[in-house]
Amino acid sequence: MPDDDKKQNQFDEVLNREEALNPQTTENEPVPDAESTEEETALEGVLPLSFSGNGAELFGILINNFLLNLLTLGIYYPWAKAKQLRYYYGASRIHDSDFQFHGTGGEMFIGLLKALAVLALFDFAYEGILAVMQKDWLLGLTGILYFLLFLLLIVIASVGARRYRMSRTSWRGIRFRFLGTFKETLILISRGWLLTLLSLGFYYPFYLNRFQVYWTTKTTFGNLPFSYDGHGKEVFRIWLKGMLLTLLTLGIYLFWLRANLQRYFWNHTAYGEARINSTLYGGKWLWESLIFLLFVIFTLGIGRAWAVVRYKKFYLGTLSLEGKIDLAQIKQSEAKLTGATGEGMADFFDVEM
Amino acid sequence: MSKTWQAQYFDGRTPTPRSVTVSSDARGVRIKFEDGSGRFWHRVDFRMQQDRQQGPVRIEYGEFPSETLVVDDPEFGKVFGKNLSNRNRFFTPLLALLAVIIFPALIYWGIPSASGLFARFVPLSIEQQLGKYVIDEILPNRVICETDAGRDALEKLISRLSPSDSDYEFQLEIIDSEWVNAVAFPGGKILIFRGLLEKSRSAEALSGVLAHEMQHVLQRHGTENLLSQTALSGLFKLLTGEANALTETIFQGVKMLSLLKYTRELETEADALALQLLFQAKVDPAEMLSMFLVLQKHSPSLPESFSTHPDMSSRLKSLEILIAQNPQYLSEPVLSATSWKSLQNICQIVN
Repeated sequence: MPDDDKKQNQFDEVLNREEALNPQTTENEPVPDAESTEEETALEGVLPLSFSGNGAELFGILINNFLLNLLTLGIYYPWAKAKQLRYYYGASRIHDSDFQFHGTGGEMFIGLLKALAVLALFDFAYEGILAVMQKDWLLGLTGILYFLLFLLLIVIASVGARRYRMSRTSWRGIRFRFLGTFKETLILISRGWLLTLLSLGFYYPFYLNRFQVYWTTKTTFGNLPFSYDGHGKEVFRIWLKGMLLTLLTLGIYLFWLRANLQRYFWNHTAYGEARINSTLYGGKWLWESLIFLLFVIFTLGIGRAWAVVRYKKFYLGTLSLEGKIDLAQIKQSEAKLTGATGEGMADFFDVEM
Repeated sequence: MSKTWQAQYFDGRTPTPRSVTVSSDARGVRIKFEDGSGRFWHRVDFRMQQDRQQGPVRIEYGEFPSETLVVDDPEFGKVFGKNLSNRNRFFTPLLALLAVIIFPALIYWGIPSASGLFARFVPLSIEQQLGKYVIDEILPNRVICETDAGRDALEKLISRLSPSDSDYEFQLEIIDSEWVNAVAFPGGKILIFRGLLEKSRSAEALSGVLAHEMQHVLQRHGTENLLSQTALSGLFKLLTGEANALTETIFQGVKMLSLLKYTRELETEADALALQLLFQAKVDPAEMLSMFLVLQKHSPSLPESFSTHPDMSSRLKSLEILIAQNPQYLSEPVLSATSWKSLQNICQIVN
């Protein structure tokens, strides 16, 4: 897109000018070009993802967070969350570089307050409508309206949270972004549900694929988006087989169905010439989920930190990037940094897409 | 010659790493590129972060998109006196100790006193609505006993006992039920159950109970209780949000016990203040004692800690002490014998 290129160039120019004007940097010599110093300019081959956290460390963070939440009556929550996320991201790596989470407790606190205000207003309006309602059919109508508005808020929360999360995540100093919008997501979801309803459920796998297309291709790392080349027909095949086997096995196959779908989505996601390779299989996934659950239950929640580390090691271990990443092509994106209201709202709805 | 570290430098515009050598002094860090050029970052201009104890130290310089320096050796953080990885080992135990002290203090003292304080600022009209809401919620189909003569007697009782300087307008209802009890609601409504009326041996005895319930209203105990219950529930929701079933159960238990202790304190207060009402209205308080003996017979015996009301014998004892402190009280009959009779028979038309 030439328009985007133009914007990007302007952005780079501004940066150069700022650097030149900055008194602290003028006394410094300019940074040499990467090309001039014999550095790696491309990554090639299999780049595995891994998680290098350990239970004892995470336990320290979780217990401090728990106690501080207790002492501050929960006000510490966003700061606790920031600390936890920093740990999770900092311990996740591709190739030889860790991810980094840049979100702060302060901005998430403000996001939470804004979300609270929106929800309070929403609830207040609803109570007000109820108070003036006299007829039963009108009451029923408001109930439906309430439900629809609730769904709308969930969509807003999911999109907002993803925009926030991605914009606060970086790898090697380059931020991720989610450029999807509320409106497009809402149209996508409503259309998907409507068609699923009309087709007695058979459209559902096609909807899943469409959602994946949108969710993935609107996600960028630096100035370049991820790509997705999965097909609705193939998802339908996986889904149909999975549904039949789920019925035959009284639901047990559901785990395999979920794993097969997720694996398909991952395997059809790429960044540039590098494709994601997933080895997520139902049996192993079920096994690890069970271990997680049993471990948390039998240690009365105290062993949660160790269970989380084990699970993350497993999950990230199933993923790798294969192919070539041309580092020289990737540039920091100029897109605006999103606020944390969506993240805050997602906290209320407990959604994480 | 100061120590040097190997590090990776990212310019914030591309993901290409540059191998650099880093040295530091009290003012900041000096970065040397492979081609010999260098930069200096003053310590007040950069932010330092370490996500994991044994993980790399990151230095970010400038506004977004910041330049980043990643030093793999976790020891590097100590150079600037920022011991990023090893937080003071007493920090967590200290937090735990604080939590152990502050949390119970909040439950047993903070929330009750705060709700007592806030209850005073709730407008009367809101209290009345609240009372109506609660009554309709718990006793939607109550049968109210009503006769003209009985109503007269009730009004006499109310006007005799009501303090003259009070904003509250008391509304009394006699409910057709075997239950030997009376309940007060925020805003001034008091329900007396037929069982209690029948078990009262005199109008003075009934006045004792009535004075007790009126004090619940005047002291806004119901409103206070609602506030503290809401606050406690909110608190526990907040804290158990991420917890498992076990901690939730423990918290629920603690919450229940603290609420019960709290209502017992309110009962004791209402008892003592009821006596004052009786003294002012010149009603014989000794009859109140007789009434409490009757109530004792009709209440289930529970250990005090598990009950909403204090142990009846200790209530009687403290009342006796209070009466003994006022030996010269005056007493005049509350109702005539016929009035009292018509009040006691107020439910017979319904039956």
